[in-house]
Amino acid sequence: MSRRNAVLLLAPGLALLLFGFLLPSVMMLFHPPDTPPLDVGRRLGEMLTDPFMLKIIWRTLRIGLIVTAVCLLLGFPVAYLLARSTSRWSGLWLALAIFPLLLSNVVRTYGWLVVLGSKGVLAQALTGLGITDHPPQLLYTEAAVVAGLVQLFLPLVIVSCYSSLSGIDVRLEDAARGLGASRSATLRLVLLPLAMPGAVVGATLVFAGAATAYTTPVLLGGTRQMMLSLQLYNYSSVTIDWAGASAVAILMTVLVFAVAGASAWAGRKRVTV
Amino acid sequence: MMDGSDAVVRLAAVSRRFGDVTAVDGVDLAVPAGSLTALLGPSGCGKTTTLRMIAGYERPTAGQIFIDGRDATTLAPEKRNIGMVFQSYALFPHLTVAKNVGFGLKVRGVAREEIRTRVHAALELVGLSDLSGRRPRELSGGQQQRVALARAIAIRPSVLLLDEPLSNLDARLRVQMRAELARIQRESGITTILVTHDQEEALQLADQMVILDSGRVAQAGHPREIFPAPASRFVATFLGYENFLTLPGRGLVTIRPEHVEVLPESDPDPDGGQSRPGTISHITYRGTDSLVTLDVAGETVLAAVKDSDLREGTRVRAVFPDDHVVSLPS
Amino acid sequence: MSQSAARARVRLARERRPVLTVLAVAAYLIMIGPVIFVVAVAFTAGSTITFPPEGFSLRWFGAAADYGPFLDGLWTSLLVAAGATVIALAVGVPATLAIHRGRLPGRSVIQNLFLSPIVLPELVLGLALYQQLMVGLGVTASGVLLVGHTLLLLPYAVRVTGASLTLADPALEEAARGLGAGPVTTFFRVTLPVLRPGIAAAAVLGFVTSFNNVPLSLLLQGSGTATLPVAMLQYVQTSYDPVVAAVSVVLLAASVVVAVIAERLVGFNKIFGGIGS
Ligand SMILES: Nc1ncnc2c1ncn2[C@@H]1O[C@H](COP(=O)(O)OP(=O)(O)OP(=O)(O)O)[C@@H](O)[C@H]1O
Ligand SMILES: [Mg+2]
Repeated sequence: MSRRNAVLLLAPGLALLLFGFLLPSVMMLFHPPDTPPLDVGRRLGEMLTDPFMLKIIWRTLRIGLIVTAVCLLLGFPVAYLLARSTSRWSGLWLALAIFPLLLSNVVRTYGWLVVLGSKGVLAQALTGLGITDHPPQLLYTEAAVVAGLVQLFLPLVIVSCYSSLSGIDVRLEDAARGLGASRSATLRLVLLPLAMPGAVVGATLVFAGAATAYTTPVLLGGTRQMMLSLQLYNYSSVTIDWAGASAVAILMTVLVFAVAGASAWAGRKRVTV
Repeated sequence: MMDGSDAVVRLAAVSRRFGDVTAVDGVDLAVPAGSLTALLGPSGCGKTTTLRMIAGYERPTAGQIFIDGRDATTLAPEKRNIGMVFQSYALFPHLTVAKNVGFGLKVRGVAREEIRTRVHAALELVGLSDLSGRRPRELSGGQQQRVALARAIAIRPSVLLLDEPLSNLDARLRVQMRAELARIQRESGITTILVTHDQEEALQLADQMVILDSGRVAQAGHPREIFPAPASRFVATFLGYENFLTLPGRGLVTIRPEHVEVLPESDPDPDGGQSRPGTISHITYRGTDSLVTLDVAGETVLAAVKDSDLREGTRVRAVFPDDHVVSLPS
Repeated sequence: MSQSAARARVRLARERRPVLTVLAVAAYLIMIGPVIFVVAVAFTAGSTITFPPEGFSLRWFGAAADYGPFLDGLWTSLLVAAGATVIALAVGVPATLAIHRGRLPGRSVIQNLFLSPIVLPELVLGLALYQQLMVGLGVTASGVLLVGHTLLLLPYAVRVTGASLTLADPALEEAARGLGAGPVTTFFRVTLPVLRPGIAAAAVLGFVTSFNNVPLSLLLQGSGTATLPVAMLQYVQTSYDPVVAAVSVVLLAASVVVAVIAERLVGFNKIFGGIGS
């Protein structure tokens, strides 16, 4: 393929990226509509000293980290059991873990309204079993948001841990056991270090998704559990505060990139010790 | 030798079934302290399964396994103190050579200073002391093999298990490592069980040879006892006896091609042997000798003959010396 | 030893991992459980989201079909998903070819550029397009919606088709040229067939991704351009009857159909798990 032909083939894509992605993104930072220059920077500064915004940032970070941790805790065992299974059903179990990725987030989150609603599954179970007459408020709590996001992102962790783990020779585990390592020592000294790259990729995807999700927090947390994503939507579509929306967008992006960078660094450090 | 009184490892009627397949079928085995036992047999005869049961990776479906006199049948692998070298080596890719070799000591909580000395000693024994900082992927196949051996030896195992340790090496390296293995086993004095399907390897290295046939012990004993006196047609075939025929007064017998003599048809019967007339149907030149295919009264007999001026189609006399003819149960 | 006793011993021999198993069961319950309850509620005869459902009826399916915004939304979603998938492939496949076969300097920079829209949070991308293209330049809502979804799918198109291209042996194309096929014939007879599974996978993945997207569709909705997921989201935020459960069941059934198609085309786990690519 000649260089000229290659450039021709790239041209439509490059044009789309330039005018549809790069320019709008950069312009959003410096020149939101109807906004004096440098207003975004001013708003950003204000947000970083505003206790209300700091609380939102902290909640976003906290929920993102908790969701990531829970997803790893639950997803890694699934991936491990699937990777080591010799059953002929294991392909089907894997498909069942992946299938939710096809299903709209709205549908999956709606399920938690059925489970956690005031006349939902959990509330009825609590009263039915005589544990309490007045079930506690389950929706619009941080726990509800976490549960919904864990459901959303478990498949990602399972898939990325699975591809790491299925590449690890079973005999490495046998060898470790034979050398005197218990099951937990084998997990700690052999499996986890080797599965780290896949787990880090999975964890990074989960954090990025959980910290920027909109559907699940708005349905399960609502305004009582404000997160950055909800705030961004408020500024851009309710109060039409362009500079504020841009500033929140920057906060969200920086948060995601900072955590991704940190986890990549930590993962690399772990592997080389 | 097989009474098991001084046995480090003893198997009593051990069987292992996988669904309908019986991989190991009632195996009795005693491995004396300090000896090298070779498990030998064709592919799929249950060698690896036997080894994995001794190491604790598989559990017998019947029978018992004793290690150092204790019933270890259901003991977890990490509680057996066994050093296993896997066919694929199974070196930990994320650890250096030294950390691989020290792994078993670390999980045993051995002090760091002692780990260092013992790792060094083990690497010294296999001749790799200067590669301790490398990762497994930076090593050649032969070097990886030595690391796996050092890692297994470093924990001072009750018994060392080697599953076809030389089969991944090229021919020349294999011969070299075979001698190396013999030296290391002698110097360390570790009781060793070696799985192989290479009879030469077993003959050369083993104090005790155990030949398996479809999960059963076909014959066991010192190579010098077994080699000249295979107990069955299966063992004889496996050890390179290629001629099976019926001789008057002896029934079914076997003899190695290099022991069959080919004389002119007119020669008289020699002393201490029987002979049969036959025709040369084919001659294959092999460098140091020629393999002569004879048609003896409708039966095919192979003879390895040094310098000869034999021609295909000639009538000859095939001689079977008595002291090389082995009777088999028919 | 009797056969059954032998079998019991075999099962004993397999190591059990109670902690891992409990965690894995919890994972599946969280992933699948809520969806099952949605199905149950969709067939309720009652008029609130209540469990267990009050009787059986199909009334909410009827209600869903009669609710205009859902039908309009479905139509919009299908159009946008199909359009964005086609454009993303039409732009992405040639770019992939240029990236992998073009011997261009700075290849990995170009590749990362094509993958970059995926690293920006979707809401941020949506905001940028909304502010700059829709409000700033006055481009129509449907146009910006299409651009946004295309950008969202472009990374998938480039990555998935790229994966099947790197798996293919470049010598195939050289061999075809050596056998006398011109560049155009080689493309249609050799390169394209090699790419076909990748293109099919990217198409299914892209369509589903676009169809289900909320953040972009929400920010970029103009009058009459709400997609189905956005219409559902807004419905759930204002009323508490089970009509969305009925729509969910329909979407669930459609997802099963898509999964079966994906399995036939390239393999479901491969496409959606990215396994083996
Ligand atoms: N995990 C298993 N599941 C089912 N069958 C098995 C399993 N492991 C071994 N087998 C069967 O048991 C028999 C013996 O296998 P084993 O691996 O012990 O043979 P081997 O003597 O080591 O052969 P090779 O020389 O080819 O390594 C074979 O028929 C094999 O198919
Ligand atoms: Mg084997």
